[in-house]
Amino acid sequence: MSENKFAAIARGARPFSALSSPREVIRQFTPNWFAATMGTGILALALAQLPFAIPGVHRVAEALWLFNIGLFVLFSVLYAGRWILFFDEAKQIFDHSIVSMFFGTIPMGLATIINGFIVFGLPRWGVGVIPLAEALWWLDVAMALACGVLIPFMMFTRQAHSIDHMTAVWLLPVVAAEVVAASGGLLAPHLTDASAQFMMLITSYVLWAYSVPVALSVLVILLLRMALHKLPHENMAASSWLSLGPISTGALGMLLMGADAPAIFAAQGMASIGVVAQGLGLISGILFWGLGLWWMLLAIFITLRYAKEGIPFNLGWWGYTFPLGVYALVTLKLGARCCTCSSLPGWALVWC
Amino acid sequence: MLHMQFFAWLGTGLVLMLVLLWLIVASKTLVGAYRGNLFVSPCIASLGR
Repeated sequence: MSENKFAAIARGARPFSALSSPREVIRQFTPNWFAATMGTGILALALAQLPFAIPGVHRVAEALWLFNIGLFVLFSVLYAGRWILFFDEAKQIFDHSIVSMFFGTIPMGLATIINGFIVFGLPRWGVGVIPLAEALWWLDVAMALACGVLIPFMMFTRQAHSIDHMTAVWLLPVVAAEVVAASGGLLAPHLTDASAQFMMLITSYVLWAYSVPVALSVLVILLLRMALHKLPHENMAASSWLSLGPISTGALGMLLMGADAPAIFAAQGMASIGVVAQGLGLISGILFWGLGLWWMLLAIFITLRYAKEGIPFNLGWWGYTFPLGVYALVTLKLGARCCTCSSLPGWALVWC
Repeated sequence: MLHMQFFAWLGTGLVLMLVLLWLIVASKTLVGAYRGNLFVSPCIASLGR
């Protein structure tokens, strides 16, 4: 008996002991894994945004960003491998009512990496990284546009859904476009060509609107679903945080797109519009922040309720990280934006 | 002025919360990936082998 136990422990210590063969890593690879690149990417960006200087934090954040690039490449290879080696099984994803939603995590994970090129890559390697970031951004636009409309189309035509099985994962495919929009707002002012800047900014506004109103309408259904059928199964506990994602990203997008809009619009002879866009960015950023506060408090209460029963771990737990991270980023952005340093008393200058 | 301190403090608190959550989720993911039990594809589970 004790020998059996020992053998079991030894078996458990081997990698992939739960799988019948290491090939299963590829055969069973799902896009859910890309949610880990979203969570890790947003942590790197949030750490870099902290309003006061803690020695070493920027370096940790940069290392996380580089690590995240490695993760994204690894996951891309594994998932591409699945499509090449197990094509007939891989295509089943389009019929699955939950796993197919996670296609949205691929462009969103990539967006955190693109933002990192501005936050970490630019100071480290100089303006040479901008064309790479620009190319990756347009690729991300294509992916977000495609999954934002094709996955809902498949929901309507081939998948089985019901209101009592509906959760906030419905948001994932449509939210990708606004994450890419926020990324475009950050990247646009760094392009050298004024008309390229303008095109990226306008595309970002379009992507924002391609996503935010659709996400808000999904949230309406979610409210009704939770009132009628109560909280989802504990396997989906983390989905209560997903709602905070599109709200915070909507705020971040408006703030980032508005930030450099005055210069970008002025270069096209529309200086007055650019100033409006900046003001609109700040005001709607604060409004969405307020809506996010409501969802965050709700998500905290819901999570505490689930925690009493115990929440089984699965990859869905990555859903706790990205929405909270974007909300933290927006909060810090608002803190940096509301006032100028000169209006502060001396003791508060540490923040600047 | 008050706003700035409020948002900066709250934002910092949220980032700390995020760090904690990330450490928990990342370590559980690492263990699950090593054992292999996180590699589950529900869309082919019903197909059988």
